[in-house]
Amino acid sequence: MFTTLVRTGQKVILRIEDLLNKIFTAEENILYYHGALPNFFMWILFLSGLLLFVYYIPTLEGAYQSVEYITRKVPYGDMVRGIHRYAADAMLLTVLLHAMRVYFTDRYREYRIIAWYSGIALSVMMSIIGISGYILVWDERSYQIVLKMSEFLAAVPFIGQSMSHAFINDDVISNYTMSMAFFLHTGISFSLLVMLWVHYMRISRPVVNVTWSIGCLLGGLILIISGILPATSGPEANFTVEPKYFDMDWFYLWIFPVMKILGNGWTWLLVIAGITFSVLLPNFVKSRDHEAAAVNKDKCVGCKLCSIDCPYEAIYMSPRNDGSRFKEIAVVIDDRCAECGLCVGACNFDAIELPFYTSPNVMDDVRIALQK
Amino acid sequence: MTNKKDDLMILPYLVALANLGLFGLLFGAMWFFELMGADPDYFDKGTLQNLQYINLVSSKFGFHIDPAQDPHVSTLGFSICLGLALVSSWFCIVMANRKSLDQVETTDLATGA
Repeated sequence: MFTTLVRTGQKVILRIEDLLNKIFTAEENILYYHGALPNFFMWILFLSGLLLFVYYIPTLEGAYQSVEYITRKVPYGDMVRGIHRYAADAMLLTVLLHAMRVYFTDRYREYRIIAWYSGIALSVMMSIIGISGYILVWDERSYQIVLKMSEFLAAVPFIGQSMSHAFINDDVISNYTMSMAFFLHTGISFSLLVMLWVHYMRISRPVVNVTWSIGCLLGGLILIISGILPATSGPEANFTVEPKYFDMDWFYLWIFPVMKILGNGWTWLLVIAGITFSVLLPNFVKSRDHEAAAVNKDKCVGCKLCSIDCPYEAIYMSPRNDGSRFKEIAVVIDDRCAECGLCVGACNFDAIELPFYTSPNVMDDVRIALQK
Repeated sequence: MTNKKDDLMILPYLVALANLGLFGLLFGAMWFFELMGADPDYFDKGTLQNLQYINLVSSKFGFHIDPAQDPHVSTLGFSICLGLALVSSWFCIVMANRKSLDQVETTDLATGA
């Protein structure tokens, strides 16, 4: 059942890609850069965040006024704020697209599993960055987020109260609250880079940048949206008035309506269940047996061609001391091998083979295909 | 060997030219209506009148420009012009890319390769 669902998803995605290929050509197919798209928006966020940081004051007294100053007085400040807001939404949207593409096309197994798990961690980090970003504006919505977030954290058994104090210390919202939100927003943003390194660690030659033209398209769209729908603040947070304003952002603030409906305890369960489901998702579809490429000792001449051609850095050259007249032999790292067969094509001496699909098998299949 | 695709190769250039023309027209219109780089503190009667005319049309599409909202008018003009320029640049690159691929196909047909 689940496998059928995944196969259907794969077919749909490949059909869409094929259609985009026909319209925009493979070089400009935006879906081929599904992993680079969140990166593109991340750099926009870093850049626009840096510009906002120049004017932003992370204190209870200064936060709202400084954001209003950025929006109303700084030349094109409202545009930069809008870019920051919509690029964040676009980043999360493209992360979802990336995850779907990776899952449906079966690109999360073996040596890629670290990328899958680190991707989940990156998504959680992004959510924390997004929510803390909404606190920094310090309007009525921010006030409600702080109150609800501290209640939500306090609902965790044993350590909840301590976590809640991270936002509200001694039942008082103070500059400490703003400092914490500012730290979460900026500190975790920079930690994203470290987690990204882990994300790419096992992937050889990952596509990390979109083409210039796709960058123009996405940058242009973000600019237009930020101009037409500028990001605005609600009324300033006031401790003496019950906050009412809550302009919804379904990408990052979806948890608050859920908390309202289900209560804190059930929302925690939902969040934990969601993360657990994402972690276990790769196990729901049966994987084929993994059989890494195998080197034939008698035929290997140590020419290094397979090692050079392997895109996954799964083959290294090792000195040989078995009495052979050749100095080195290729060694395959099983966990890294993606069974792509490039090494087989690279070898001029038939010294490396995929055990489950040998060269004679390939030739037989080609002959049958040609006869058809 | 002449292929019909040769005759179509002028299309990307025409589309690119049309896009640039559109951008120029939009930029010019924004400039003419004093919306590009204008400081709302110095909006005169004429500018506000122009905004009213623009709002007459744009409100048909559910879109209203509020001159009281400090720098938004200027930002709107800038973001739309630059945004459209970037999007049309992407479009031109895609068209040029398609053209170059068509050229390869034509060459293949010509050589029989």
